[in-house]
Amino acid sequence: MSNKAQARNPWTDPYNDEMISLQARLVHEVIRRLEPQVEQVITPELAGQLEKIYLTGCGDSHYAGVAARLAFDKYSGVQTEPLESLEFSRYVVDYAPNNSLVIGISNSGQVSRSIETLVLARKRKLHTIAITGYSDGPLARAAAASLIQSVPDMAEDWGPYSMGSLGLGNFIASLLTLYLSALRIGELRGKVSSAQVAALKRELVGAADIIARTAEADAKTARELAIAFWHLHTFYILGGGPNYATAMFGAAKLFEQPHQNGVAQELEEWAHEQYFLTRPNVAPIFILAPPGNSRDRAMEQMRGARDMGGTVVAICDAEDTEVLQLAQYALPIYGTLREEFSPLAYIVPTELFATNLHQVKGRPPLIPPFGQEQLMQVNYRQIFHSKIWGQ
Amino acid sequence: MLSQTREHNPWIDPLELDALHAQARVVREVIARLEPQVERGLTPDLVKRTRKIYFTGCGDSHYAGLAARLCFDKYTGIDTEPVESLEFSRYVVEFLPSDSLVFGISNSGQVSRTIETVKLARQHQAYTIAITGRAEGPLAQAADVALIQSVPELAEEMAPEIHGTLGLGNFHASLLALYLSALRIAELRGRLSAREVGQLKQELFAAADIIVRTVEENLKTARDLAAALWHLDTFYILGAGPNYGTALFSAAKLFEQPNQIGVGQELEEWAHEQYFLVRPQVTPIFVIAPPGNSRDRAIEQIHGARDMGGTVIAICDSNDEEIRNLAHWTIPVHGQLREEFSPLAYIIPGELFATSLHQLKGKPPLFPPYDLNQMMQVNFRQIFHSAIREK
Repeated sequence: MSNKAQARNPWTDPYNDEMISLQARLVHEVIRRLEPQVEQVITPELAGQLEKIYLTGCGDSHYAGVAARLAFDKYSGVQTEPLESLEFSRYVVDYAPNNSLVIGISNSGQVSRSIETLVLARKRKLHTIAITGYSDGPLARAAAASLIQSVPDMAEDWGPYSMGSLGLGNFIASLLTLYLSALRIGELRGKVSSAQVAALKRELVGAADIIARTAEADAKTARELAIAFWHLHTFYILGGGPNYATAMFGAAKLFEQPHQNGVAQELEEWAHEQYFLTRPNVAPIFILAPPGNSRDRAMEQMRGARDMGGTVVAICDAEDTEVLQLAQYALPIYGTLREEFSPLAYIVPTELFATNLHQVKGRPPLIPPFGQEQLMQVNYRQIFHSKIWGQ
Repeated sequence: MLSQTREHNPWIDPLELDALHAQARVVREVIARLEPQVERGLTPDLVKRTRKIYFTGCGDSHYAGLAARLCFDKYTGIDTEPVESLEFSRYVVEFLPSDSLVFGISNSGQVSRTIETVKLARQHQAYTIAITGRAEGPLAQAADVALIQSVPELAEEMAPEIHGTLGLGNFHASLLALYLSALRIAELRGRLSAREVGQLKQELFAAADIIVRTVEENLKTARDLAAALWHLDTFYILGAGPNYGTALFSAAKLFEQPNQIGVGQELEEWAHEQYFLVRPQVTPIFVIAPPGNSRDRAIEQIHGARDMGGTVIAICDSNDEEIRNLAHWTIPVHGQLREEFSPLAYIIPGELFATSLHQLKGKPPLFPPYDLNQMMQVNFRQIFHSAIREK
């Protein structure tokens, strides 16, 4: 694995499918490393004071917050809201209730807007925790306390350029850290018992096998889909609740890997918006339909898309024959997680699709004078060197 | 105007530009009609006990909630959160704090998911207010109280085929109903004096003139822009804070009118996501950059897009020379509103562009056996006849 990973240039070359399976190992490692950190950082005193929790971040880190909200709502007993970093730092921070906890997420720890979020939250004397891969990075330094999600020996597996990054696995690491935090707060506030927390953690550990099985079982279909859709450039991905985040994460993989137009949409919203663009043989619609509170609506949307000639790809439980029969294609999930934990596994199909599409068609060219180096330089300037308010 | 709109088929024909102008009249009429309703609906007793406010809706009604949040945060002193209807009814509703106030917004009053939201909120002991165009519609019937935003004589003039709707003006009407509600709550809680509320309402009235000037001054530019970009099918629209709602609304106009791919994106997020798709002469990027808390970040994003060869259209204050000089094109707003009210005027450029593009290129064809009749039937089934959960 190491040799293969070291041979690829992470800025231009497609991932190997193995990198998706690698996330299964990450589940065990992150839980093992984060459990003691979470216990240390989230003290009974802190948990007892909280009026509100904000989960902030950019890109995948924001989606981790959106994905974790249901777990916080259900278990922590504290009002929780995920917010994109700029929305928090430029608009909400002034009005957040006292005794709010602001969790800022950035694996690199260098994202300007997420640093700004914590800097301004601390100026307002709100509680702050960084979830990051770097204990010495600026995000960790901006926060009152940090949870370090990196697994150095595994980061090495992602290649020599990884610099502490877990690559695709960053999202799963952030998400697990948030889940563990929600359970810890809930236990300290008496919302869930120790026995319940232990059972829920076992379910989290169980996600590893589901990820591995799903990555293996769907690899061939993902390749076939990439070949069937190679000529298209826009792909809709719909999801509700925690899996609205899964949809956004899936779209992000399409931007980052094959540079295609992934359009994530909240499950209900599609009928009010992009529905009008439905035509046969263009812009396939991936619909996340896990067991849970949105499954019925997902089926309604599939029927709506098909009634207008749309191409539907279902991402659903492998045993959900009703949903499987409604879609033209399916990338099923092999195993069941409660809905609040389901993004851990439901991200796998779109990772596979984006990776395979990248492998099959590469990326649109950068026309001179624009090149890969400039693309990355400008990107780093945009996200790591934006002017930070409050510093 | 009247004779023109009577011949207009709202499902296929482009809007007349008069319809954009008419929004200025909506502003004046809606304020006059809603003020007494807001006073009756938001009683001192209700306001005193309210601890949390949610706005719920789908499509434009959801965007109105996003656009109004800053106003509530700034003036009411009550924790406020806009949540899309399905996200609320299927996920958030179970965890409502006691003494929540839930606004359900739907002009038609028939959107299944928003009716579901209000019904379930009531079951969970929240107080519910419908913002709708129809006093006798199911949304109004489901709520504790209704604010009727319609102006029948204007609705008859603007869209006689769609009874009770203000057409494009629905968004303005919902937004004004929310602004007036925020000001009423703030006054009852002693956070604003009657005099301050009076001044803020004067600013809202003044938006009407800004709308008219902005429409008139930009007609030619919007047409020129549509002619220059007619061959493209994907348009990014970036905005932050209240104008993230504006960006999503503007993207929706592209779906609904020329059936093109509008992608609304939060201003910061673009650098983390769709940035990677920037290439010269494809996918123009509209950047909403009003005076306020995100202007500096908008300027950074404009630099980033240009450095990779992207085409940038700025939607900014007409006197903002710095931004006007940075962008390739500008659709400026002629007049100033405080940032929390700015969506009232900043939606105009996106409306003008979508309308001009629709006038110029029509819509992509629907191939047999699919046609417009089926598209509307399926759409109505999807949004008005979805199965409503009762508990």
